[in-house]
Amino acid sequence: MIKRLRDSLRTLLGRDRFEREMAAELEAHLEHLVDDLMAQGISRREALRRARASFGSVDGVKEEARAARGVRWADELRGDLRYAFRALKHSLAYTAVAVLTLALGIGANTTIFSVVNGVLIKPLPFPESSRLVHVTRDYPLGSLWIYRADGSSYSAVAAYAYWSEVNIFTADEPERIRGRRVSTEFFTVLAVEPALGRALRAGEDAPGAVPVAVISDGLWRRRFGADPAVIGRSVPVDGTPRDIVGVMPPGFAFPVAGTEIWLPVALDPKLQATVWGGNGATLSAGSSQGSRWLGRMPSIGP
Amino acid sequence: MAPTPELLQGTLDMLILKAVSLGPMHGYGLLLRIQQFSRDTLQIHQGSLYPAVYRLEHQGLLASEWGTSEHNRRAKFYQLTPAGRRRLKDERESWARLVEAIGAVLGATTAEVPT
Repeated sequence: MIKRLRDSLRTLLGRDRFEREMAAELEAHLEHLVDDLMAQGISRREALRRARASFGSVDGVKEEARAARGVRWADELRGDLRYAFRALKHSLAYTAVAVLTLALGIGANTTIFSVVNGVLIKPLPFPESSRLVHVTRDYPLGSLWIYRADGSSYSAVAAYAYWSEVNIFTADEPERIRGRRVSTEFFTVLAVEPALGRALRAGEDAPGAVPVAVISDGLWRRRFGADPAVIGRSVPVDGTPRDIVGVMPPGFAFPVAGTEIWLPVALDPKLQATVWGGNGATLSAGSSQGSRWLGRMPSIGP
Repeated sequence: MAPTPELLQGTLDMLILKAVSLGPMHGYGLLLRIQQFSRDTLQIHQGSLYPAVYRLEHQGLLASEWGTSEHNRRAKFYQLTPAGRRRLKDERESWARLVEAIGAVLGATTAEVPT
């Protein structure tokens, strides 16, 4: 079965050669027949006539030979298609309406599926993404402390602020890159291990902590020449020297592509008391933008 | 001379395989072989030969190669593949059984069915 399919395919692909060889073979056969007839003393013209007559229709034989090779369906398909196109050309209005309807239908369907696929069906590119919960409401920064304390419905909670562009000064050249301020549980919640070094640690977002940063793989290769000794190097970010503590693996860019540096949020526990009573303006300057949340459900069991 | 018996397609295939088994040959030569061995009783219609040969090649029972014939003409020569040899053997056995069975029916002398 496979052998026959392969043979049919080979014949289809080398169709010209097949036709030429078949014609040559049938021609040779006729020539042999003529030779033998002439050997019996018959004139060439008469021999030719008799040979052709006894052979029958050459085209008929060719058709049968093509069928024997299993290529007739391809010929018939081609013929049917050509006929269909001719018929459609005759009634352009009908064809136009049909094509338009198909186009709209297919287009709408594809669009809807793409959106649904991206939003609902495709799993997030993080390990254990089924346990991740993303809340996109804006919260005042100080409320992070409250959610941290409450461990009942989430096993870990992280927050991140709106992106900002920061100036990073490396190799005597400043560059503006996209950065995010994130809470220290950020990398734990996403469960992505840095490729080099470590992620942010608890306490690094407290006031007075040593300023640190985690950089992306792209930034590492571009500005630091993929140097493994980058861990521990101090790099000025918006004027503040920060120690680089980790490099994320390639392909990690949360929450948007192009995020190249993650800095701890600047939290001030003294503000906790003012969250519920006061106005947002008294919160630390860095958080006048809101913050968003990531949560992680505790294990639901096997 | 008795009229040429009608050949079933499967029978023609078997004869072609046998003719090829005697040595590589082109289509016209195969036709002659069958004719000569049957003492001219079997006259294969020219147009039936090539579809049958192409079918056998399609099934992998024959292999083909271009060569020069004894008349110094270019022709396509066929020979048996190992699969073809096996098929020929099977066909001969089936044929022998068929002939025996038909012969038994035709040779019946009484109306009684053998027990």
